Amino acid sequence: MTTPLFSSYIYYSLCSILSIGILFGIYLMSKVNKSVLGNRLSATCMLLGIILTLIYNQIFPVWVLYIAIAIGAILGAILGIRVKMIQMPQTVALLNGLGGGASAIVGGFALLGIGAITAPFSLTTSALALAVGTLTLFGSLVAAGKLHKILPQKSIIFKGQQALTIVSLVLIATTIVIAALGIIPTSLMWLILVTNILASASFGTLFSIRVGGADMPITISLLNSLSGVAGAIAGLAISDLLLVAVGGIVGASGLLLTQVMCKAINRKLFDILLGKTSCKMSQTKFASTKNSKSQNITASHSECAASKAEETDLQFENAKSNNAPTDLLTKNTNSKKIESSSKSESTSAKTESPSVKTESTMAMNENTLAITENIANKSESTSTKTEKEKTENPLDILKKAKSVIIVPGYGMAIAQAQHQVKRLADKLIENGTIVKYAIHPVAGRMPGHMNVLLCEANVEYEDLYEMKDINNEFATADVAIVVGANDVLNPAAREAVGTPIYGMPVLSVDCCKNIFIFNYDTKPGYAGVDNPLYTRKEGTYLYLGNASETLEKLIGAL
Amino acid sequence: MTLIQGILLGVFIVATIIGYFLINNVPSLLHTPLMSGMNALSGITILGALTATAIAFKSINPVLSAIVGGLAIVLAMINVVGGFVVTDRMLCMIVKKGGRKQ
Repeated sequence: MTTPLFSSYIYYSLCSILSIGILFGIYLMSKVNKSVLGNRLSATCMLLGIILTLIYNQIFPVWVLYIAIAIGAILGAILGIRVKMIQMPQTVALLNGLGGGASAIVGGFALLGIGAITAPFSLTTSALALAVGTLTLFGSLVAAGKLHKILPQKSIIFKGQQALTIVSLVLIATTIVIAALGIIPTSLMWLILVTNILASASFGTLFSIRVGGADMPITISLLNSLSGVAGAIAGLAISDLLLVAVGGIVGASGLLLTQVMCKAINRKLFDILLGKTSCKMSQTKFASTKNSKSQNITASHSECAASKAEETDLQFENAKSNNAPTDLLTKNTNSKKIESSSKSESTSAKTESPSVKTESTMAMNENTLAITENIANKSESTSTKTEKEKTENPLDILKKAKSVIIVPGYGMAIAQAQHQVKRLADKLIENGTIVKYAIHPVAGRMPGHMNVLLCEANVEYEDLYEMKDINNEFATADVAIVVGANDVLNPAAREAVGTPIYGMPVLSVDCCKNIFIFNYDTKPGYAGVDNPLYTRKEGTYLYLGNASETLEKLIGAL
Repeated sequence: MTLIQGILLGVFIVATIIGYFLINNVPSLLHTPLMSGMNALSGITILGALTATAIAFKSINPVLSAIVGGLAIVLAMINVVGGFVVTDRMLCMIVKKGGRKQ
């Protein structure tokens, strides 16, 4: 390389300044009020970094670069401007994959001795960059495909997947070691390169394809972190200070963000890395739990209502049960069974009541009734038939409600119903109702997905509550309105051992007296686990169909 | 391992540690934009792509390296520009709404 225009000291100082600028940018981005500034600061630093690199390496006369930069910038800008908020998860996944791919190419170049010296250190890091970059690319593409519904959304597991994963990992490790030892002549390096790419691609694909349910946001965050790591390693390979610094920062803070999310849904990052993300056992174990579940659920639902009847002492325990739901559930199952079945008749009253429900809802209510009858037949104490309770008109319940908690989910995003949600909330607030929003950490397909959408609809940031802050309030709230959410409030997460959502803390919607559900259908959510709330005997009002339409009707009726 | 590589490794470790403690206590409202912003930053690999492509273009097979290297630059650039634009859009929306009350 020719002598640089200015000394390397100046270059490194400038690199340090830019790195600190980017650090500061990320720091600002974690503060609500300064985040826009932070993002722009980071972007500016990046632009300066590009210019600095062009000058320092004296490559600005190479015209090919500018064509590529222009194409990329235009495509990126088009994508960035035209993408809808709802498509954000797959966009982030896709962009992330592209970055990983670029790192992989840099690693590949370095492995062939381009831009790096053929010393063990560079060879190791370049092979590593190639591997991490490629697996990020393929993992992200699969994740994006799943989110965009090009690929099946359920977790895919096939025979020999584990073996194939291990083979891929071993192959990757082997190629890195061989490259590091430098025992291969440069002419044969192609072989290593291709093997490495194929093995990493297969590992990335296998890693992502088995992810389903609530683990998707975490996987995206993890891949995001990985693309930073890939950049940093590529930087080590080609001795680029800025690349190393920024890549390291992104990789580490991405990892922290991933951990924050893992903590929120009570999972260990290590488990996810080891592939416990999947519902490996669900096919076998769930089938068996399903039978017993249908009976247990009868009991579990009335648990909250029953404990409330026993006055405040038990309410305390009820609140506690949100933290340790499984314990309390198993204890109470037997004692509450009789009480629950006596209430099971009330659903029929609901169907008869004059209502504003849509046709599909009516049809659904018949279903509910049918299912309820099944459950009732199963339980032993069907004989204790009480008089049919006169169920209130759902509209009256809403009008009388003093406090309402809205639970949004991915369905709200699909139906673009956030504006209707906001209008419904406004209507209720006019009536003097207190409206809060309960945001599950993994509601939607991306961390913070719901917050973004609700903000788009002008919902005040202060009204959004995180799960741990609001979960105890479901028992005292009058109405819970579920909009397109399923897995995050599925009580089955507490009892259905072996399913993907088992053990995940869920919103205690089942503790609420009245639940309004605005979902498209009663099919299981993303995690593929049936939600027993749909067949709850009392206080559940299903409004099936496109949430923005069903909500519109309700608002009109109010 | 040369001195410069040692320094680089040191920088990597320091950057990792700083990055790890940087974003403690992020409100979940900002999870999405922060992730997408960091995603844009991970496109920093554009610097490597530029350098490597230029060297490859000048030294070895220009056509092949222009294609492969060009691809790397295009990919990284989409990542950078798309990422920052998307993040900016999200943040503007959130801050406008969320910050109004404060």
